[in-house]
Amino acid sequence: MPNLKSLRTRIRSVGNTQQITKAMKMVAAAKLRRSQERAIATRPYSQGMGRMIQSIASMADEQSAPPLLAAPRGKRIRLVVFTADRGLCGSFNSGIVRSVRSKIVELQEEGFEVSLLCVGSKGNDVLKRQFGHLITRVEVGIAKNLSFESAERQVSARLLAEFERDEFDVCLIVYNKFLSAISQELTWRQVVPMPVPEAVEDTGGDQAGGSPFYEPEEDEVLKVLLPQNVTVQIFQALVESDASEHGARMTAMDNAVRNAGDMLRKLHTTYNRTRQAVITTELMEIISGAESLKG
Amino acid sequence: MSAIYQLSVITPEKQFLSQDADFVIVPGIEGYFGVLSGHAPLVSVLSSGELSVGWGEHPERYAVSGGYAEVLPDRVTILVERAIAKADINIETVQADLAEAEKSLAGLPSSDPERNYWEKRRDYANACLEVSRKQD
Repeated sequence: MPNLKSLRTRIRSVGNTQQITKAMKMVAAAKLRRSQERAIATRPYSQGMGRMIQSIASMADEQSAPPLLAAPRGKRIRLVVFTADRGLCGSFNSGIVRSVRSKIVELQEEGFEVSLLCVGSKGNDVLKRQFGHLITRVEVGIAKNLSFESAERQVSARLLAEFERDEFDVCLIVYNKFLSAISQELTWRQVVPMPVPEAVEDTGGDQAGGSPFYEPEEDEVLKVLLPQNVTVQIFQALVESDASEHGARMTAMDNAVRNAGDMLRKLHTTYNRTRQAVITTELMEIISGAESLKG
Repeated sequence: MSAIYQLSVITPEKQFLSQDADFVIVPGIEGYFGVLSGHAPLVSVLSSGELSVGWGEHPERYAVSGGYAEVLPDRVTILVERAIAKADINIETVQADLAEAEKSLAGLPSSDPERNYWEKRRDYANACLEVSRKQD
């Protein structure tokens, strides 16, 4: 039977843990609200961008298409992995890492040459053990000060420069898409080259005025629109991932608070039982001592 | 009296404007152009400059950074990286921004990928200054 002192220490430490997890949950909830608003506010821009590209890209012909839109020129794949910088958020990071790991194996079997760009240190921490030689760069601390500009400067501008220098042919991004505070969806998306939109006339009425004019020429427009679109997709991935991270952390911490509560209840029961047992033993000793004195 | 259409100005961070408009002047990369309702479909790249909404002497003025405009007969969508209303422009911060951008540009070699970013910052700051100087 555990002694009383160790039980008391245990109860205190579990109680402290519960306080900490409760505080973390509260912090995550506050941050979640802000990130969630931002994630949702980003969507109109990327939708507008998608619509514009779709209308132009469907008209660009195959031969003259810029490399960001044309068919991939080779078999080198860059994976951009969006994880959190910090842990304690349930399966948020491990889900991504697991998916990336199986994707790498799958791609390598198909003969692709894979390289990695880790955004967020947690992905790097785990992946470097197995795939350290594939990691080209790690970006840490973007989420702390997240803006469209930081997404552009730290991630997409360099990524595009590397594409220009012919360092990879295809780029896939993987991130947690924000669905709600308690659910995220693991999302793979190809950003380079931009997948050619299939649907040409799904917007029906809007196209009534015939094909639009372009100012400047349509290939010129495409030339600026496509890199911008890569940035937009990366920014979107960042904000979605950020919101998902806080959601995941909130859920994880909520569970932790509840588990600590259960544990405390059990420990209190054990503590009380032990205390009663000790008192009973002491009483019996006193009584039997008194009895023997009566003699 | 002219027909109205739906105008939306969207930045990556938020829906900046969503309102009805009858006339808008947009800073196209090949020059400013006005858009009335029923305009032929057009997609244009925008440079940084002034976006003004409404007719006459006193339009609502905004400064925008570079972006894109999609014009449809009944709808105009403007995607820009930044936008600000004339009344919200703070000249001191803009000037500080401009100075910072120019300083950074001066120190960068012409092939640096960062250049693009700072050029955009500079052009946007210039646009802000220009808009704030306009008399209403």
